[in-house]
Amino acid sequence: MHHSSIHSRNYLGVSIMLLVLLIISVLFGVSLGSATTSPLIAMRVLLSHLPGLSSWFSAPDIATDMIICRIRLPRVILALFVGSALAVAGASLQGLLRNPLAEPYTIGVASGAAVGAAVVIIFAGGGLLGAVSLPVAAFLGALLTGVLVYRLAVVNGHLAMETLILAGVVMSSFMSAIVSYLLTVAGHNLQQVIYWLMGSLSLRGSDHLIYTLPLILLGVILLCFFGRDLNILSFGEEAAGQLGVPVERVKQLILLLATLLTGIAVSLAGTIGFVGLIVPHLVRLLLGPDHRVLLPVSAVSGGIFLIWADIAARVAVAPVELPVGVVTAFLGAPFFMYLLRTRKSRGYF
Amino acid sequence: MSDSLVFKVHGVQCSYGSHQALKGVNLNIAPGSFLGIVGPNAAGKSTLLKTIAATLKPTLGVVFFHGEDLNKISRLDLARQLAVVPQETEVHFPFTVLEVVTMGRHPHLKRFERESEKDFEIVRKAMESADCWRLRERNILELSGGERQRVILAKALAQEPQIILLDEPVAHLDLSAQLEVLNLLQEMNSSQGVTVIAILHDLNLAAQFSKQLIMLHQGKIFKAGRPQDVLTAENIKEVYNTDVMVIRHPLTGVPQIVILPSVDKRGANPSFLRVHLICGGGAGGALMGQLMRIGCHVSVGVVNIQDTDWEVARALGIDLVEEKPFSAISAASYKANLQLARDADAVFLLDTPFGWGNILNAQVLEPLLASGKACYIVDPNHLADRDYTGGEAVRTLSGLREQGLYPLPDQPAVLKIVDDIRKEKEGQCRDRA
Repeated sequence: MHHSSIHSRNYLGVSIMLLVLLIISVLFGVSLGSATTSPLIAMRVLLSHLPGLSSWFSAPDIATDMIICRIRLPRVILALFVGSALAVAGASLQGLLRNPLAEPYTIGVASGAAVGAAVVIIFAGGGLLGAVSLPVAAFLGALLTGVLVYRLAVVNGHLAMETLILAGVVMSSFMSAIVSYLLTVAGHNLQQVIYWLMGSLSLRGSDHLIYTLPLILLGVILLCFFGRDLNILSFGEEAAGQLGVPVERVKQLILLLATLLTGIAVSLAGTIGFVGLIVPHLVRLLLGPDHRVLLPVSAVSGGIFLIWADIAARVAVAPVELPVGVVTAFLGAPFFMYLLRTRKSRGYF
Repeated sequence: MSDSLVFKVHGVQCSYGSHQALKGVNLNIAPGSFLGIVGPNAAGKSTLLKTIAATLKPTLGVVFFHGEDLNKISRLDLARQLAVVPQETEVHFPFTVLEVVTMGRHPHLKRFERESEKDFEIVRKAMESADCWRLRERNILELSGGERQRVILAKALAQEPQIILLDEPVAHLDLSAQLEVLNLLQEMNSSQGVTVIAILHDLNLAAQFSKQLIMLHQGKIFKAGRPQDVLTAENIKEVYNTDVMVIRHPLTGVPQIVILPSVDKRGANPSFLRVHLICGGGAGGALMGQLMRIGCHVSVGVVNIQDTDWEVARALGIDLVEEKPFSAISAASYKANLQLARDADAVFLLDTPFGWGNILNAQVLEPLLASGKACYIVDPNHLADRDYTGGEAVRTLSGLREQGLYPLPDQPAVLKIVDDIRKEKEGQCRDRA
C-alpha cells in the first residue's frame, strides 16, 4: 500500500519547509527594525553564541550583539511562542467545538485577562506592584473566566459544547463591559490600557519568560497529542465514544490546555487577535483537516506568522511601533480572503 | 450461562427527562445472531440500540456484555469488538473518504502509533466490501447520502468488529444498494460469525435478512421470535395500526407484507351495494380492494384455501365461500356460493381459469340468471385460452350468454357497471323519498 508512504513523505517535506521558514523568519526578526542589520550578520551573531561555534563566528561589534541578542531575540522568541500558543489553542477549539468561528478568545479568556490587566494598569499605576504583576493579574483574570465558563457549560456532568460557546460569548460580553467601564475611569492610563488591549510584544521585563515559555511549549506539545481524538470527534461525540474515545475526559483536557495556553499568551502579549482564528484555517485550507498534521503545523505557522506581523509592526511606520494586533488583522484578513476565494471548492463552511 | 450470550439486556428502562423511551426491556442475544429490530416511530428502537452500544446509560436495569456489566467495560475495549453504524452522521471537516475509514482503526492503535501497512490493508478491504474504494480521494462533505452511508459502514468494518449495530443502515440507499449492504451483512454473519443487530424500517427486508426479530411497541418488546412469528397481520395491525396482508415469499418462504388499500368507510350510506365476485387463481384480488374502497359490500365464492384470492379475501375480511386446497368444489360449497350470490345486487364471473375442479363456479350462474339476477362475465373473448376442461366451460358459458349473461371487456368495466348500478339505486331511493 502506498498511501502511508505518500502521506509521510508529504509531511516530511512540510516539516523541512516549515523549519527553513522558521529559521529565516527568526533571522529577519532579529535583524529588521529601527536599526537594521543584514540577516547574514544576524546569523553570525546568533551562531557565535552557540557553544562550540563561538571561535568560528563573532559579532561585528558589541552594540549589534546587544541589540540582536538582548533586545530583539527575546521579542522574536516571545512572538514565536505566543503565536504558537494562540494558533494551537484556536485549532483545537475549532475542532473540539466543531465550529469554524471558534478561536482562543471564544471561551471568554481574553476578556477576563483584559479585566485583570486593566485593573492593574489603572489602580496599581502599572509598575507599582512590579513588572510581573501585570501578566500575573491578566493570567488570573483569564483563569477565573475560564473556570466560570466551564462551570456554566457542565450540564448533568457532561460538558455541553453549544452551552460552552454561549457561556463564553456571554462571559466575554460581561467582561468587556467591565473593561469599558474601567476605560471610562482610566484617566491618564487610558492609552496604556488600550495599547495593551490591542496586543504588543514589547516586553515589560523578560525574567518571567524563563517560567512561562516552557509552559507554553509543554502545552503546545500536549495538545498536539490529541490530533486523532479531534479527528474522530468531528463526527460527533456519540460516534467518537463508539470508536473508543473517552469523550468527556478528552474534552476537558483539550479545553483545559487551550485555556491555559490562551491565558499565558494573553497575559504576556495582550489580546492579539486573528492568529488563533486564521492560522488554523490557513493550514486546513492548504493541508487538509487532519488534526494530527493541523495542530503541529499550526503551532509553527502561528509562530512564524506572528514573527512577521511583529516585524511589520516595528518597520511599517518606524520609529513609531504599531500594535501587533492591528498588523495581524491587516495582513491576515486579505490573505485569508484570497485563500477562501481560490480554495473554497473543498467546501468548508 | 449468561456468558455464552453476547448481550443480556435485563429490565432496561431509559428516560429522556420525563419521557420514558424504554419501559423495561429484557432481551438475550446469542453470538452469531442476525437480530432485526422493527417497530413504528418512537417505539424506542434507537434508544435500545444506543443502550446496547453503551452510548446511553439505562435509567434502570443492566446490559450485560459477555456476562459483564456494560458500563464497567472501557470504551476502547468495547470499540475493539463492537462497531456502530448510526442513522445519521454529522461531519464537520472535509476529510477524504480514506481518512474517514482509516479512523475506524483507532481502537486498535496505541496513542502514539501510526497506522501500519496492515491497517491500510484492512481499511482497503473494508472499503471494497462496502463498495466505496473508488470514492477514497473524495471529500466526505461532497458525497450523497447513500455514498456517505457506505463510507460510515466501511469505517465500522475497518474496526474489525465481532458485533455490528446498525440503525437503519439502508434508509438512504436505493433498492440495489440496500440489498448489497444487507447481503454483505448476511455474508459477514454467516461466514465470519459476526453478530448483527440492526434496526430495519422495511419489514420485508427485515423478514428476509433477520434470523430473529423483535418488534418494539411503546418502549416494550411486543413480540420476539422468528420473522414468521413476529410479522403477522395481527401483530402489525396492533403495533402499526395498519391493515396488511402477510404472504409467504414465493422463493424464500419468509413472511412478506403486502399493504392493503385503505378502505373508505362509506359503507353505511344508502347506496350500500352488495357485489358478489366469482373468481380464483388470483383473478379477483385487485378488484376486491377497489370495490371495497368505493364502499361496496363484497362477497367471494368459491375459492380454494391457500389460493391468492382466498388470502386477499381473508385479509380484507370479505365474506367468502372456501373449498379445501386442490379439491373440487363440493355440493355444500356450491350451495353456499349460490346463497351469497343471491343476496348480492350483481354477480361478476371474473377472468379466472376453469378446470374440472371449479366448473361449478360457471354452472352456478344458471340458476342465478333464471331467477333474474344481473350476472356479468369478464373477458369472455379469451375464455377458450383459460378453459382446461376441454371446452366444457366455453360451452356452458356461451349457453348462458343467451340467457342474459352480460359480457364485459375487462375488470375496469366492472367498476363502471357497479357505479351505474349504484346511481340507479340512489335514484330509486330519492324517488321513494
